[in-house]
Amino acid sequence: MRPLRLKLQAFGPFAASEEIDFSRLGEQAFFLIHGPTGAGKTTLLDAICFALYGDTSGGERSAQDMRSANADPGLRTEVTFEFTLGGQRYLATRSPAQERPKLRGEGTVKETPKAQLDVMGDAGWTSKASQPNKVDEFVRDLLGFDSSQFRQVIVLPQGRFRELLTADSKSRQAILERLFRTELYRRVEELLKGQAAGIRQEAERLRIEQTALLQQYQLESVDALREQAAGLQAQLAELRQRDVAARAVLEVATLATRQGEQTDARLREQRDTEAAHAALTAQRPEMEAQRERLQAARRAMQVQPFEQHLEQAAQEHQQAQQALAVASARAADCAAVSATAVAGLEAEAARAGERQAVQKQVTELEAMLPQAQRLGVLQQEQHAAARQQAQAAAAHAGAVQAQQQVTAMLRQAEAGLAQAQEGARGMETIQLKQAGLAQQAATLDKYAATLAQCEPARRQAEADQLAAQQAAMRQAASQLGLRETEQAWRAGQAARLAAGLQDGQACAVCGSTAHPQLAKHVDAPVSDEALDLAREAARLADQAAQGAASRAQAALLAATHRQAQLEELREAVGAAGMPDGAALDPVAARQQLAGAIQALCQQQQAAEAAAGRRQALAAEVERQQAALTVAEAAIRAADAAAQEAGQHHAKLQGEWQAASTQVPPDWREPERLTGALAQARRDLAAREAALAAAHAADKQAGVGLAAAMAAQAAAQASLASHAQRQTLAGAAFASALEQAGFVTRQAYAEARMPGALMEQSEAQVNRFDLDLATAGDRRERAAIAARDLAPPDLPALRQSQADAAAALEALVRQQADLHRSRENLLQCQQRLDALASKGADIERSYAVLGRLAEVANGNNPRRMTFQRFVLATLLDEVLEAASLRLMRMSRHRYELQRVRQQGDQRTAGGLDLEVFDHDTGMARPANTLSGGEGFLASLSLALGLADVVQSRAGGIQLDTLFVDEGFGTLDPESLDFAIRTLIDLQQAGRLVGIISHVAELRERIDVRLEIRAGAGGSRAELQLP
Amino acid sequence: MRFLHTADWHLGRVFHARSLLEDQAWVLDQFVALARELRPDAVLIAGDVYDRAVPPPEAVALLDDVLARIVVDAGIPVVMIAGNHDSAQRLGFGARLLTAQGLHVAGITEREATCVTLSDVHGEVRIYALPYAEPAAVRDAFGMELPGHEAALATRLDAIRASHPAHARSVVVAHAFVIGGEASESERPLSVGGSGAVAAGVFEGFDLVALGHLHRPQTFHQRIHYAGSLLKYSLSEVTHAKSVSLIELAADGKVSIEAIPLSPRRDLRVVEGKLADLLAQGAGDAHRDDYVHAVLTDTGALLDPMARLRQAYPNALAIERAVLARTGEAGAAGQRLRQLDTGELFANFFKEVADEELDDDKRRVLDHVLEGIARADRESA
Repeated sequence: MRPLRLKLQAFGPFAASEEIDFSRLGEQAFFLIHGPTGAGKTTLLDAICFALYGDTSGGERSAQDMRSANADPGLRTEVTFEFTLGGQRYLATRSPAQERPKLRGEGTVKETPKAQLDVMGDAGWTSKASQPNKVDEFVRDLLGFDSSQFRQVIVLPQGRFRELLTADSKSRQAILERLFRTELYRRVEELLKGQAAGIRQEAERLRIEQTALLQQYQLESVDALREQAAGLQAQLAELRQRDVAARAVLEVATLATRQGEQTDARLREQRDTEAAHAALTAQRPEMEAQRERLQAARRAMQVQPFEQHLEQAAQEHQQAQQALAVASARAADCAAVSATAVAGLEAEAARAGERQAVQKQVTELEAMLPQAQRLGVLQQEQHAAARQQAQAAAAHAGAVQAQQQVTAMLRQAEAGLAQAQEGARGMETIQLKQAGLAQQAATLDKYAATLAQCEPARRQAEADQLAAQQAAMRQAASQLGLRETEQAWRAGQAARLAAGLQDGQACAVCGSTAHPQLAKHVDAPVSDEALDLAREAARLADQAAQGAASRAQAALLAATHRQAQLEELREAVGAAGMPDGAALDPVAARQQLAGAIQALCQQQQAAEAAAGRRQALAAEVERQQAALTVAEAAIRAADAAAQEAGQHHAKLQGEWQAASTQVPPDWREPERLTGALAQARRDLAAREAALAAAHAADKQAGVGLAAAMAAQAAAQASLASHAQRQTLAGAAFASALEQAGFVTRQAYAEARMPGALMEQSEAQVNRFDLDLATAGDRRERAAIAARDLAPPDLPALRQSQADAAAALEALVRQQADLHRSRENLLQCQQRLDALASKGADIERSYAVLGRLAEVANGNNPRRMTFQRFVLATLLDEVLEAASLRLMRMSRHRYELQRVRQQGDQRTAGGLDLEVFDHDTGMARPANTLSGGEGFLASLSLALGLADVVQSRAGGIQLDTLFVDEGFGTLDPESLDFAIRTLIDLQQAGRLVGIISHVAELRERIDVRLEIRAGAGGSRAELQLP
Repeated sequence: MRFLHTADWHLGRVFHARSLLEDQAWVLDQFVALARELRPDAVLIAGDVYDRAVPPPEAVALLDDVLARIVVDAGIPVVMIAGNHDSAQRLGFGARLLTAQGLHVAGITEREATCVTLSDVHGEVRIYALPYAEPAAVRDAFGMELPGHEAALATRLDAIRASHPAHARSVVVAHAFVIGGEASESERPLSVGGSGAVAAGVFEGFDLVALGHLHRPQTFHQRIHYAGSLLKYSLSEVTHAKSVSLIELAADGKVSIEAIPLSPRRDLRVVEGKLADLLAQGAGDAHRDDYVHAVLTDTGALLDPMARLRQAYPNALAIERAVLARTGEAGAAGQRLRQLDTGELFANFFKEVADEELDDDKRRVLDHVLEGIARADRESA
């Protein structure tokens, strides 16, 4: 964990809002939190602890009390702490329960504690936990330790830094366990312990089960069970002997009973057979009568064929009579048919004259047929010619109408052409007018341009004139100046000469050597240069005046020229029909002209259009003329065709009339003739067919009659034969009756019996005979068997047998009961045996597991649990790292080491610390160290712990250390060593913050977080070098 | 012109809980005598006069006495600056009052450096006294942002160069850590975290640079010189020969340096051997009063070795047990522990605490338990 930003609001001495940006420290990882007592140095650590865990660094100040007493009531007490851990940024925000003013109205409301933990993700802060207890839990998981452990390894709190050093094994174990994550080893311990306990419970369960089992069988012990089982075995053996005896008794009784029953059965048989035989004997007379009836029936059966024969003959005779009657009726029918056929034939033969008349009609019609066909063709042709003639007439009328239309269109085209030519002729006039107007427009434009130029030219001329006048004035002035200057120069010449004169030297003008009165300068002397300047000025002024005058002249000339031009143009415009004299407005004139030009343009366009149409119209006229010619030719052609058609029609009419004279008017229509001819032919054919049919019928009737006559004769012969056979059969029957002994036919009829009844009766008689014989036989045999037998006492016999069986059954039941009891006991014994064997198994595994659990959980000579063993090894490593530092800080005097020998056997040990004093060569308890030494040892231990934890992969990150006071207990040299150690630490990349008001430290540490107490609460300021 | 250059007196220093004041007074007597004998033009004391910002009264008295004897009695001017151990304000108290007497003390850093002008037959020599200052103090004095010690010192030297007359020779007295210098344990880092070192190049252009801070006498470019500390102040200085430097500044600015050794009252030594041997050796040792750091090679336990050692060497400081010195044994054990699997670890544990090997039955049961844990972990993962 590395702090980035801490914000306190109304927290402790910080009444307002205070933010400390630890990230500004950058590489400077060692800093001093400095300030007067009570300014709030420790409060910063409290705030960190509070933000993370909700309690304070010392664990003494309550979080609720941390609200600043003099804070603005509206300012909530809140701490925000941002830090990094494992590359992630986290933000913890927390506020305690507090009173805050109501948003509306008087009074306060109680606000519940709040906490929030966010983590910086790709999309900004995202919440990880929101409730105080959730945040606590999350922070515990995140940092790997709880708040009290946090205070021991991250923050060495004021006055309580010795906690880790002097803690007992148990609390030290808790912190090491968290830091090194050795809960696995504790789980091994616990699991072993749990499993051992499980085995013990199992053993206990088995014991209870055994007791329950014994109780269930109401047994004192397993031995009692065995005894009982043996007793039962003996009882069973005795019962088995009694069983054998009882079985023998039962056998004897059973035998006696069986014999008694047999005797009884024989006697009963004898009685039964006697009765049966008597019953059969009583039936005998009836049976004899039945036998006689049966014999008569057999005789009647012999007569029966003759009777049947007689009946058949009578029947056949009757049939022959019927057949004769049928044949006679048929012969009569055939004679009638034959008579009818002969009459028909005669009637047909009488119609010969009618048939000839029809034949003649057919011949006549056939001869007339070609003529009639010729007439039909002619009539058709005549109709066609008439239609042609009508068509030709219609064509002629159409052609005439077409010619009239064409003529009308020709007239129209000619009229259009004349109009177009008129339009084209007008175009030349328009063009002339256009040219005139264009010229007029050009002139007007020129006029406008000239007019525009006139005014500037005039103004230029005036300006130049003015300039020329001014130049002339300046020229006059400079001339005047020059003259004055020349005059002054000349006046000064004498004084100049006089200045060069000296007495005794000859004057250049007068040659006198005496100069009694020297000329003197009246004014300032004019030098030659001044004169030259004046001359030059005059010359320049002349030049300027001349230039200006000539420019003015030229401008005037130009203006005049423009005016003349304007006049000329105006005349030209006037000549073109403009109103003369008056102010000529070129713009209005131009617009008027433009209107005229546009009107002309439109006229011209119309004329051009007309000229364009002229050609088209001329072509139209030509085309219409050609069409007229065509139409006239068409009329002529139609006329000729009509005449020709009329001639053809007349000719055909003549031909038809000539031909029709040869055919009677009724048959002039070929269809009618053909129909009559077909009718005649059909009539003829029908008549001939009727004649042929009459012939055939006559012949057939003759044949039929002959056959019927023959059949009648045959039937008469058959009837005679059957009558004879009937007489013979009657005689045979009578003789048979006599032979069989029947006096009358009536007797015979009575004796007759159906076959089935006969068989049944015969079987009945036979069975009776057999039964009677059998019954007699059985009676004799039973009598023999029952001879000399006395009737037995059966009920007594049966009673004795039942008694014996009951006795045996009782024995068997008793045996079964005993057997079951024994089985139960044996089963119980088996279960007990199984329990015992299971118990032995458990005991064996407990021997192993129990031992492991015992040793792992510290029940060993060293009083050390498995986890403590691991932790002890780790602690050795920590102490080695710590000792390196402590040796330096204590001037090679102290080393930290683990207590190797456990003094008190009752408590778990292995993690107790002691110091080895090199001066005395002895180890002694850590709590015997002096205050300063203790501080150094604690510091070393915290640093060593952090070293080792850091070096373990996946371990908790301990990259920050805050040391709250403790430095005041050190002498200057030790302080040096301590500071040096801490500086080394920060060079290893760890953030080290120390709280102190020792002035020496302030002199020595250039990175400081200065806390200043003030009236409005404390302020913190980070000072960097 | 000649100077007697010294530095890093660390008056009032406590070493292994012993005040070294007596030893310092002893050596300073030698120094005063040397000054009287050599009569240099000035004595230069280049910082770390006291060991701490708030020195013990005895240390203040000692310094008062020594300076009085040099300045007043011998009449030799002294230029003294504050080092990083000194409190600038405290050391600089009365500086202006003392100047008239020939004691030039530079404590607080000011924009214009303290300058002492001396002359010899070759002309003027200007001595600039630059007390140690944190960059923050220089920033306050100069009103400009200065990142680090080198920039701060360079700024101060630039200011001096700007006002230094061309004809005069120049001497700078300063307290700094020049890159390439050999440090020892007793020097306190100038900067916590940042770099307190400066390149020798910042002193370019000055004829002589008399430095303090490093405790071993050493010279750069024949003109940038550390006189070294008065005494051996840490075990790392056992081999040092402590001295003061007599420096001759020639007419052309050429510098020649002569080290004049100081003999301490009690030397700092490391002795090694069995306790009994050392006791015997100490009995006949003429220098048995020396400060002794004993490295004991005894392998067995020793009863109250310090008390016994002090019978032979009354000023024994500390005992180091070569055998007991941890050689990463526990670390190695921890390493081993990390490499063992849990089963093996348990076997070790069992052997250790119950003095019993883990037989096959126990091993099987244990493996079963461990498998159960591994399975539970997998399922909960």
